[in-house]
Amino acid sequence: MDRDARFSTRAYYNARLCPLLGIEPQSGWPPVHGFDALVDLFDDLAAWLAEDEGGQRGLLALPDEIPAQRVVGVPVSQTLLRGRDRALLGSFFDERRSALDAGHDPLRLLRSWAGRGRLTGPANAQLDKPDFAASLRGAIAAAFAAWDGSLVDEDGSRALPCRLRLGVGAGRVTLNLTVPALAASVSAQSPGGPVDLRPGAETTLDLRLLDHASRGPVYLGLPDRTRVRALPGPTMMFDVGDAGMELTAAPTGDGSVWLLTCDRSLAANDWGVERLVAADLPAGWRLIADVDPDALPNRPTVAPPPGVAGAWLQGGLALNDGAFLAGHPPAVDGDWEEPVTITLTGPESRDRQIGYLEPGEPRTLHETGGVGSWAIIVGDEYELTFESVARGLREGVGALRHAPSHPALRLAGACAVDPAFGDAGPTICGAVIEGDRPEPWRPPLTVRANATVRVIYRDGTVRACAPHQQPAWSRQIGLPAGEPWEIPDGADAVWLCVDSRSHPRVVAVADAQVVDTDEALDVADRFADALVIDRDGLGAAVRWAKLVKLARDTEEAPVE
Amino acid sequence: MSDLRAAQQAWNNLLLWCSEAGSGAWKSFSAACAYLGLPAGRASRVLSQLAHVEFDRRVGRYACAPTALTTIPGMPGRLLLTGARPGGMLDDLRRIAELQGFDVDVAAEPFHQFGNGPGTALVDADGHAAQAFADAAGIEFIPDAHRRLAALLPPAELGAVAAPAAPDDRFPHCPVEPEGFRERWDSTRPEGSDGLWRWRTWDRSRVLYLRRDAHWWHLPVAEYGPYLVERPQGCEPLARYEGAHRLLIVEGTAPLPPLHARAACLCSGRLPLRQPYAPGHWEEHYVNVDRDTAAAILTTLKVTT
Repeated sequence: MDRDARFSTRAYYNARLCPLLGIEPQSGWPPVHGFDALVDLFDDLAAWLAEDEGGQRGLLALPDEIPAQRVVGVPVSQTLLRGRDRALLGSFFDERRSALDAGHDPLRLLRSWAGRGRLTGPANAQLDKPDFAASLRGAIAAAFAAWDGSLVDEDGSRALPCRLRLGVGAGRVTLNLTVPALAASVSAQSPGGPVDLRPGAETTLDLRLLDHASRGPVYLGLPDRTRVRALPGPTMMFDVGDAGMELTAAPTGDGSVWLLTCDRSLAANDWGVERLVAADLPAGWRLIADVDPDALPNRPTVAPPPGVAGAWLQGGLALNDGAFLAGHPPAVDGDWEEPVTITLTGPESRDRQIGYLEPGEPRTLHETGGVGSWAIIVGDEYELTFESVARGLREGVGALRHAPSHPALRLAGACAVDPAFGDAGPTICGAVIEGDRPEPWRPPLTVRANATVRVIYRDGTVRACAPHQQPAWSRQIGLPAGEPWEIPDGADAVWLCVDSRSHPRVVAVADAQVVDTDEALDVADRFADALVIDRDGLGAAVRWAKLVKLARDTEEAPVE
Repeated sequence: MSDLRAAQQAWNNLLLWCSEAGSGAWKSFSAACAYLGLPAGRASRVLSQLAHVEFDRRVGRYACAPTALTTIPGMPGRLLLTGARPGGMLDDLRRIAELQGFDVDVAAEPFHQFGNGPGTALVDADGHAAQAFADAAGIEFIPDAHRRLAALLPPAELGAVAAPAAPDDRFPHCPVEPEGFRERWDSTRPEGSDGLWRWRTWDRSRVLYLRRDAHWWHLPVAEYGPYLVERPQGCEPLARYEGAHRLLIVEGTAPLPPLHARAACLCSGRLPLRQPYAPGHWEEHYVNVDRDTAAAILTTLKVTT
């Protein structure tokens, strides 16, 4: 029970019970005759329900001590959630909506709700009684299902839910209010004057209302005495929503948020001038684009992730089928308000307590590094299981490709190339290119020598090639020196003459004759006594000897 | 463990995880990045340009590319290992080389990327043995991947890389300055004036539009924006090539489009080196880029130096 617009909380009989029973109040006390005698029978009723019926027909919640109001206090104590409690539930629903929508245990959530202290004393006492858990769960779930989204303000008045959208164009900022619950157009009263609200339509608010928001929430009063909290106060956070940038209490995605604030400490941060939106805002107000939520003090967070109520796994390197990559186990977290034990059962099925889960501190399960199935029992109440694996499914490799020549697919970037698009043309997936017509690739001719190499080509030309100098970037990452280097036009090379002082040598790289040009013969003469290396066993020594002989014969021949 | 070593390990683990999963949703990729302490957006660009993983942002998926060996220009004795790199892959390659008698040396560990990306895995092998070794290992051998990719790069032209579109005025938007390409929320440039505009939409935090001749163009690959917009006279070119050092140098605020960046990275397997030259300004130096690849990149981006 609670006060309402017509009666005080204490108007038990005349205002509430008699109309409910359809009788007129009687003279004398109690105004409903025999009601006091009925209350005297509650002890017997409670015993019958609990013992004879085993709780199948419900249980009575008799007060532990005789209440101050001996008669009324006993029936009233049967109310699990009183009017004031139910009104406060709006705030609870608003804050834990995502967890409730995800099917988390509403009783557990209410027990751990930070606003629990604002519930009535009897409701707080009921929350901790195991006997009433099922009834409370049902009551809370029913209240959530029937919740219209309204909130109860600090002064107990009801506020209609609304949506505030931030509009930003070049040099212009708008605040656009929608009140979905409105059935007809109304003229609302704001501190800045009347504001016309239309059902299902946006109303652009006068930015001068921000002057009032700097002191606290700005309400619009409706004719039926309900209100709309149009502006929440001196700091507003906007995140992307269905209609654009919408007011939010906590960011819901990975992205950045926008801040509209006149809070001096926030506005004074070095956000960078390019992120301060140029707009004609009232003095002291700043609109800051792209704020990392982690950069905000007391980073707002959304409700716990969907999953097992009470305790959940988070982090780790999860693979597609729910297993975790070995060595990267998840952490366990929960919403207990005091430390609870964590017991681990590993592949060898030995229970061992590995410590405590401290409130607000996820605990990494380092102990589960090995491959196998693991069970974690948290607080002797919740059991979580997962599997660590060394190998994933490795499915879908190569499923996304670029088709840079296709007019439509080109715009898509990497995508699953659908045959419906017809011939996609050449495709690119990583370094794998298909469908193009590359020139035939020939392996380069390489040499490891750390000396000048004189290359004799088929046409008798000779080119002196210096060894490859290791580039700085490869030195920086620790690549060893002395790697092979390429002989240019290697396909036409026949002899590689390594000009090493200590170990001069000739390497045969092709089974071919060379044109006996002067420069080729000069090199042959110079390396006449060098070791000949025949890579392929193609009679290179004989061919080299012939070339050397030709060089010497040419040298000894008289010049005409 | 030093910060650098820890960061390098995180990147290697991210590639390992992607490779073991094979493919999946962006959400799980983002969660893995969060666990490893890596920014998901940057991680996706890094893995894409190193040719390890492909990302489809429209449907929110990632998929590893097939493991492939490719050649490195100017380094004929070394091959670059790209694509998926599942656990134990380097050991497996080494074992195959030993058992089947290939003259191939597989690096024991990938070479670090200064903690900025997954390490570079190199295989020392003669080009003649590369195909046979790849066949034995069951992986692809794609010689000259950098050059073949460069030959397929789409040109930076409106009709090729942009689509006519009508941006949603309900969402915040601001002009992007044509000099440094910074988003200027403080600008009072008139609505709908020519140039680049950054939009926020319901599913993307950054979408780029180009306004030209009273028409809006959506740039699905935002990196093309700087190369499409008309820049003021006298601005330095956004990219240049230093042939003597085999360096492709790109202005930091105008990063290469993903496939262009990949073509440049496949020349070495290395991420570009960030070279600051003034507060808030830097260049990205792609190393070991051969002249043909650099020319293809600069030509398709209409960069004249």
